Amino acid sequence: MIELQLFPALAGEVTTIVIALVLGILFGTRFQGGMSKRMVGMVFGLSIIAAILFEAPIFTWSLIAGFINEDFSISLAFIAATVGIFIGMLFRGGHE
Amino acid sequence: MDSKGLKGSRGIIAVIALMIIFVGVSTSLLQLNGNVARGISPEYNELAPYEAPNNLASWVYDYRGFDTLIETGVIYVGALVSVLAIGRGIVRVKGVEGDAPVAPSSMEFNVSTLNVILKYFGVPVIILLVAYALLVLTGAATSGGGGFQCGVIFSSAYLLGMIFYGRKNPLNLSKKFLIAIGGVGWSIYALLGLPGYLTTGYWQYNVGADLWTSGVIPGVDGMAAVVPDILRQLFGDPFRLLLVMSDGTYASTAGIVPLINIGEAFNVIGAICLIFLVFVYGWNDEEEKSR
Repeated sequence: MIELQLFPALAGEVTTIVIALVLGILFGTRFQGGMSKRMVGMVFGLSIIAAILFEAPIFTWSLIAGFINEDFSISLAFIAATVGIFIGMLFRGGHE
Repeated sequence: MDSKGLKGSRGIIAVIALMIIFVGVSTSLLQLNGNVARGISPEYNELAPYEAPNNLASWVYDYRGFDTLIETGVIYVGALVSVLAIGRGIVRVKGVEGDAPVAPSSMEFNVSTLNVILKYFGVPVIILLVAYALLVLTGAATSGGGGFQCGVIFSSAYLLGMIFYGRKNPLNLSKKFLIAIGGVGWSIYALLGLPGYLTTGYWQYNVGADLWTSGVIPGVDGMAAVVPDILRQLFGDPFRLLLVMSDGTYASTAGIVPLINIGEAFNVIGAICLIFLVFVYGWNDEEEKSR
């Protein structure tokens, strides 16, 4: 049984989240049109639900990677990708 | 099937072809005599804990290597044919220069005709699909998925935007962007072979995992250690994971496999979205300039 831990987080658990964020920003700049704050909130809420359903990737054991216990974990890479898209949209000016 | 089509010379050719296939297959089976080559899969199954936990990623991007890259080229051939067939405005074929380019029909969708669910949930679904594509990409080395799947999911988000919003697609991918991202993808994939080639002489040797010289595999002496530590750390450490398995715990790294997956994803996004763009919007330089 792996105990819940914040550190040490192996690099492989964090790198994927960083990659998802960076690529999210890249593709977020390609979105056009405005989005209301309510819409952003709804998408973020849906992404959290999806992240819980997808769970953290296998062989990740730290809280930073979204692992809480063997029955419950969060896919932080998915949330990072969504946040990255929003940041990319801000670069493009795609907000109201 | 209409049997009339097989009469005459076509029927004779079909019968001869079937006979050749039958003779070839049956003689091959007779020659087997129980000596079936087991292939390389047992070796790769044993190596999996020391490299990408997703065995398929090791196969597709480590063992097959450039075969996978060239396979992506098949999609680009499809994209090129699409441009030739539908976007004749830019690719002039000799003999039809006098003809006017094919004018794409107007595709202005009226969003007000969409029902409420499609109208308000279209954009969120597209955003979540793109995020899902990136999730599949980042999980390539550990779970099912990879660059190809990422590209296909991303392309489906693009297609969804086209169907819902026509030219007002919220995911606005221009031809330049798609060609650029495809080119960058090919470059990433191809150039990731360079570190391995310069250090070991084998193109696309996985310098991050470095299975054959690092001594991580018990009983495998392999080559003399030729990969510098700096390269091993640079490509290996960022993707190091702790594999807890029934027969032990391994500190494994997929090395360059996740990076190759990013290149592959860019390839597929560029190729498939370009096909969608040409088929749905057409290829019209003037229109893009005016945007």
